[in-house]
Amino acid sequence: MLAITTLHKAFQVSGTSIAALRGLDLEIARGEFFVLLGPSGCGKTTMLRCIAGLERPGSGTIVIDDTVVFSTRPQLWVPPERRPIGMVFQSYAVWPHMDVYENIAFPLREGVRNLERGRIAERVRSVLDLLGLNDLANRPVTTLSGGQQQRVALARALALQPKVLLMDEPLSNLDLRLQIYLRRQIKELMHRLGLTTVYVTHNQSEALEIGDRIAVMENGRIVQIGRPIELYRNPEHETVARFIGEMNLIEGRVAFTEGDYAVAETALGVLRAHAPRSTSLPPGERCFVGVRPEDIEVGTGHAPPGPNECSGTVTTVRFIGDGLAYTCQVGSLELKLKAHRRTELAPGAEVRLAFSPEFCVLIKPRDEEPRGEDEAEQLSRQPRMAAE
Amino acid sequence: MAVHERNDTSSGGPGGIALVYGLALLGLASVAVSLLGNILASFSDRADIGHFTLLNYGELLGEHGLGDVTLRTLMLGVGSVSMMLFFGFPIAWILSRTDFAWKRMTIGVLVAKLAIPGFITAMSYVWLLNPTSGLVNRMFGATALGAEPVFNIYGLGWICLLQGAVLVPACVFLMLPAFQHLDATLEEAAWVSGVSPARTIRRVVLPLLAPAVLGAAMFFFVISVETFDIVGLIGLPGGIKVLSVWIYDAMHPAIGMPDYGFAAAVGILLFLMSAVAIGFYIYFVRRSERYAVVAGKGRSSPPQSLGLWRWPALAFVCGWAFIAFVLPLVTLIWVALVPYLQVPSSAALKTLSLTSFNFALSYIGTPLLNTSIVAAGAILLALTWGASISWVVTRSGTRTGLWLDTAVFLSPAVPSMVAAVAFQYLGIALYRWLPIYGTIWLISLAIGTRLLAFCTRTINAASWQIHRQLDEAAYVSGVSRLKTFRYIYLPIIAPSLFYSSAMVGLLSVRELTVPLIIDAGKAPVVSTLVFQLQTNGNHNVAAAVAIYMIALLVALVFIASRLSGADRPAQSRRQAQGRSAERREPVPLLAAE
Ligand SMILES: Nc1ncnc2c1ncn2[C@@H]1O[C@H](COP(=O)(O)OP(=O)(O)OP(=O)(O)O)[C@@H](O)[C@H]1O
Ligand SMILES: [Mg+2]
Repeated sequence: MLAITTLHKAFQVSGTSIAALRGLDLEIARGEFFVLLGPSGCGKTTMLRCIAGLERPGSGTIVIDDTVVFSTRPQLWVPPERRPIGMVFQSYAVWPHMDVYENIAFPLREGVRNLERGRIAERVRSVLDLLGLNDLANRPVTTLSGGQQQRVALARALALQPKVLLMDEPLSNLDLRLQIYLRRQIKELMHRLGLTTVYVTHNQSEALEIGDRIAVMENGRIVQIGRPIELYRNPEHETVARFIGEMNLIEGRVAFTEGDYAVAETALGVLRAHAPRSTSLPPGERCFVGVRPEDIEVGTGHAPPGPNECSGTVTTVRFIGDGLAYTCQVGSLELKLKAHRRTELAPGAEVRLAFSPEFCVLIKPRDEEPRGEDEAEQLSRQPRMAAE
Repeated sequence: MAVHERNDTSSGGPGGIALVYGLALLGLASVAVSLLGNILASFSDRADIGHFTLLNYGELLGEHGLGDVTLRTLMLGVGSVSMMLFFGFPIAWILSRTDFAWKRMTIGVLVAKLAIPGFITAMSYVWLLNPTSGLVNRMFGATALGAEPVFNIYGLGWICLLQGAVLVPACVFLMLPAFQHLDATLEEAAWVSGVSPARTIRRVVLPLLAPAVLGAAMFFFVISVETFDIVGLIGLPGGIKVLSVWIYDAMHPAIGMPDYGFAAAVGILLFLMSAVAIGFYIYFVRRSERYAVVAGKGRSSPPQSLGLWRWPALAFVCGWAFIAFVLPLVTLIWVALVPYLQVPSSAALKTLSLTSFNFALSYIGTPLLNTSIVAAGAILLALTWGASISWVVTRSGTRTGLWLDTAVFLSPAVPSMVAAVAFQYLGIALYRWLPIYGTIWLISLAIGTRLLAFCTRTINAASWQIHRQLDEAAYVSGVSRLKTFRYIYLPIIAPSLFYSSAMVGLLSVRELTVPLIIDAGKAPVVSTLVFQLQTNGNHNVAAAVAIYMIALLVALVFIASRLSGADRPAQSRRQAQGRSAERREPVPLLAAE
């Protein structure tokens, strides 16, 4: 339905060129709910605007529903109003001088769709119904709440009956409860309509909940694409591991691989980890072994550690409602773990930790190209992401 | 899921927007004419248009007293600006940083002053203070044979004083945002570091305000040397030669044809002087914008308590109001009511009558119609061009926008006098194909062009505040650029369009300089009518016409100030979120005169 190949886009800012997209490839199937996830400034909005035709890429191709809407060779450009899309903006962008009905009807009447009067009324009614906006049809949009404005924006996009619906952080201006409620509604609605959707967010829990598939972006590139559960279970890349959920990353070097498993030498000793083909790293290469806090088994016996096991000391304990979060010192490493509240341990307790190989993953480290400024920026954003 | 249900070509392809670009370029062309026309004229042979020569410059350099006149023009500018700041700076300070109890009244008077143009103010001072028949001089018995007049209005000092006083409202409104938005924490940081309040003002506050104040000074320098309001009424009869008087004289010779070439050559000199000032203006505006970024989100200072100082402050404000507002208005009414210039007395009171107002009615018909047409034309031109240019500047995202913005922003560097000569020259050059030479149409075109900079600035300010995604939402919904411009962009910036129209209307009714140069006796407007009546010694009728004119201006000022309040409605404010970095404060009321 939507295919993007080697898309590049750079912005000229006071003489210097800022690369926002660096060779993106993407293919989205019909009816799929596709999420673009990534830290602030990684190029999500730019990508969406390129698809919409609001930004002209430097090179690459964009194909929507088997129609090329942009390509550099041969030169081809379809302006935004001629693309079969709908778009919902982060700021909603409802037109303040029109009421709800007119906001939806205006593009149908004056745009390329150019419907007859009767069909417009019919279509507006049906989307108003769909989104429960019937009572608000004649209200000036400026008198609506944020959530209502957001639904008007969505209704306006749906009324166009687009081939692809683009949404740029549509919920980020709303309060948390409303966000959670609306994201479920949106997901359910898009599936019912069978609409292909590209949804941008920087909120990983939102992405995991609503995406059929997720692409994690960083620095203008896609680092991994997959179903939410795949990304959670098998992050292939350090960026993904750090960005989605919590994960202990244990640095080491690959010793050898066999089938879907690899053995790595780490500070915790030799660890066996799951290594799908796509993460294949040659022996000797630097790597991480990742394991999620809830996947570490905590035991108390004094038997010497077996394979994929080690012993350590509990340093802190936090009660987090549905369980307990510990930090545990193992040699020079500090590991996070999460356990059911029945295993209550006090700081200072000696514990045995077991890492089952199915739950350990081999992870590709970030390229170590010097990116000083970017890196600092990313770090300064960490707390914000952690809070979400 | 078909998208192109009924693909209709009338929905306008991307090409439709070319119309908007076309209008914008037309506006730019007209701005270009106001300078290029003058340059061309300055190289034109007096007798033979189309034949180029350097004679005009030769004549200018050989002209007796060139150095003196240039110097005097500089002094006119510097003096006027000094007087303006003498009144304007304290008033802006009082309004923005103190707990002055009469702020509303002060602002009311400042706004009301806009309804009394400079030339009417000057005229009433001529009646009061001229050495041979001035009312004040007569009160002192100083007009008797052999007596020395107590006051003599015909001096550069008086011109500067009056010009400065007249410019105060515009100056205050231009500087006020900078005064109000100064971040209080910058001062507080100095206080908690142990710096005394007085020293903080000297070392922190004043340096931060300096760019805004110097910027305003440079901007009004240009206006002071170019406008003919005060100079025309006082300098011309008083024989005080400055560059604008030379231009006027060349355009209105006692005998023979106007000398465009010489007028244009003088114009170039005036332009160079203004260009330097505008260069400084841009430099200072840039600096103050940079400070504004630093000051960013701060709170504005808590008002400083005046205590007993409120009385001197009140006296100061009233002093200005008396000079600039009360005295001219009272004089005007008095002169209109008595049959000839006489000192108030019980005898004079017996002669009070409304006859001048009746006379005025018989004169005012055609000029009033002309003024209305000129104003309507100027509004139409300035607004159509202004809205198109603003769209290109703020929405098209093209380089053209940047150039266009700069060119229009710089256009006030071309003095009205110079622009008027340029358009008049154009009128002659095109006469065979388009007979608009000396007509109200040409006046309208020239004034519309002059006020374009004001319009684009006001509309740009509104436009930057409105989220661009409102337009983009229409594009991605399949609406063409032209239709988006028409149905989304224009309606949303409408408040700024209404406000600009009212201001353009106001300023074109007040305008004296341009019609005075272009009018070749065929196109009298109200302002030139007053000028002619006064020049011919018909004081009472001049006063009566001026009062009618003020009534009209009061209505326009009222409309404009109402609209400026509605400049930013709640709805567009809500849409403006996240755009604050690009936001520029609109100038509340005129910066054009
Ligand atoms: N109009 C522009 N001019 C210059 N640089 C831009 C422009 N738009 C985006 N960029 C730059 O391109 C990069 C990607 O920006 P983009 O808006 O796509 O990020 P994003 O992933 O949407 O971030 P966020 O989550 O904060 O919305 C950033 O470095 C940004 O500074
Ligand atoms: Mg974004």
